[in-house]
This record gives sequence, structure tokens and C-alpha cells, in this order.
Amino acid sequence: MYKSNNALKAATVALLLSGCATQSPTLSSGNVEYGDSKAVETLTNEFGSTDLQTIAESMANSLLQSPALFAKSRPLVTVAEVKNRTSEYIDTKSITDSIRSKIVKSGMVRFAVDTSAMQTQVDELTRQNQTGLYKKSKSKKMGNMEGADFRIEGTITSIVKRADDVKDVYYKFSLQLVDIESGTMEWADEKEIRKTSNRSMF
Amino acid sequence: MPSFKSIPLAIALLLLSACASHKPPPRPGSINAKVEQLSEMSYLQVTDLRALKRNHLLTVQAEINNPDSDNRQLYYRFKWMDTNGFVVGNEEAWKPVLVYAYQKQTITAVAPSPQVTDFRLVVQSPDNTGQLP
Repeated sequence: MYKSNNALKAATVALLLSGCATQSPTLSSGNVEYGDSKAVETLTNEFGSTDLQTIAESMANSLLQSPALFAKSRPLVTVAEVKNRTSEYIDTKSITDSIRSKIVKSGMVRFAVDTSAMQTQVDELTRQNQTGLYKKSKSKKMGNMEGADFRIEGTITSIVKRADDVKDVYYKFSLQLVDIESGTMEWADEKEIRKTSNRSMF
Repeated sequence: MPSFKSIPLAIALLLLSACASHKPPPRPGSINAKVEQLSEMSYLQVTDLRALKRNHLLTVQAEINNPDSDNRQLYYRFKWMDTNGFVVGNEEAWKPVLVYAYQKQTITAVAPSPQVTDFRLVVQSPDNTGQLP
């Protein structure tokens, strides 16, 4: 009688515990986990996600305050090359893509197709107009593309210094807005980043 | 000699009193109403906060004061809201800023869209020893 009472208690506890245990919708080996993509990353001295995000935010903020952009209603802008003059590989297109996304979201500026996407644009227009597959009334006409008012271009440079166990990296990202018709520079800004690492012996 | 039985009771009371310590909500319009601290900062203070619409976009400037004799690290980001209190845009990246000893550091930000009418400054400092706000 006493034993069966204990078994009943154990079964009740087990039932309660199994009721509390919730199953996460995950399939994991235990070694991989998702982190915060917006976290400050300081794993190494090299150009990282925080640098990219900080540069993009800083440049987009500054550009959105430029009086040149607001002299015209929703001006058309195109993105030219950002030259990488650092000693490391940096995907500068990724930086300009982030800047462009932030500016487009503001709704204050429109972007024209840039040179890297021009072939795709031409191919699409050609397909619609010259393959004979599309209704003439429904296809987009050739010769209606709009030329950009402004061009964004820039450079990223770095200075790397080492002394004993200290490595110092200084990045400078420069961006400028050029009026395409007049060739005048209407806005320019820089974002500087310094990262210092100390390789201690202990 | 104190009774050992009284120790768990004392711990329980301590925990309960810690849970019960509520701060009054910040006054609307005050700096604290716009600042979200991820655990109270021990050294850094947000001493000034101003916002205005420029080119249809809300522009915010915050002043961070370090009254301490050591340099202090701050991580911050802004949250942007529309008139209905909905968050506008994606989460911003956390940004590091070093505030020198006795320095007043100014940080600025521009809202991502003209729909933004309100904001929160989210701050976190590794030098947190205070209680959760």
C-alpha cells in the first residue's frame, strides 16, 4: 500500500515535470546559435559588420541632411564606385547598398539603375521590345529611362600601424555627391573608425 | 548564536524586498522618458536631449556626460516610432562611443523616415553596477 502510494507520487511529479518542459522549434547540434546581427563586433581588427553598419548609418544620416538633395523634389541619384584603397578585401558594394537602402526608405530620394545593374536593365527592355513575346501596349518603352541628377562616389582608405603587441587600424570612408550636369560636388562627408588591439603574451 | 532557521527567511525577505523596489515612472517630457537604459549606468549620464524636424526628418541630439576620472565606454542606438507608437524601420546597429573622463560627448541621429515622430535612446554601458531601472 505504502509502495503504491510512493509510485503514485513519483508518477504525478513526472507528469508535472513533463508538462513544464516545452519543446523549442529548433533542430540543433548544440554548437550553433543565432546571435544579434546588430551587436558590436570586436573579434578582430579587420573591417567588420559594426564598421559597415556604422559607416552606412552615418553616411545616410549626413546625406539626408544635405541641402543639395532637398533643393529638388525627390531627386534621382545613382551610385558610382567606392574605391577600396585599404590593404584588405572590403566589399564596398555592400556598404553602398546599405547606404542606398537607408536613403530609399526615407522616401526623399529616388535611385537610378547604376552601372552594375545596367546590363540587366537593358536586357529586360530588349526582351520586352524585341522578342515579339509581349503586347506592344503592355511592354515598357525604350528610350524613357531617366538620367540621374546626382552621382554618389567615394573611397575607403586605411592606415595600419604595429608597435610591439599593439596593432592600430584607422579607416576613413569618404563619400561625395556630385551634380552630374554641372560636375560640381554638392556634398561630402567622412566617417573615421579607429580599432586598436593588444596581443598580450599572457 | 543566530539560528540557522532564520537565514532562509532572511534571504527570502531580501529577495522579496528587491522585487518590490519600484521606481516611479519617468515624467512625460523628461529625459528619462526618452532614454532606455539596459541596466542603470554607474558613471555615464544622458544630460541633454533635443529633437527637431529638419528636411522633414526628425533629428535628435543627445549629450552624454562622464563625470568620472576614467574613460568610459558607451553603446547606444535609437528606436524610432510613428504617431501611433509603432516602431519604424529595422533595429539600428549598436554603436560604440568612447567618452573621455569629464567629457561631454554629443551624439546625433536622423530618423529613417518622415513618418517618425518619436524616439527612444537605448543606452548600455559595460560599467553597470546599478540596479535595473
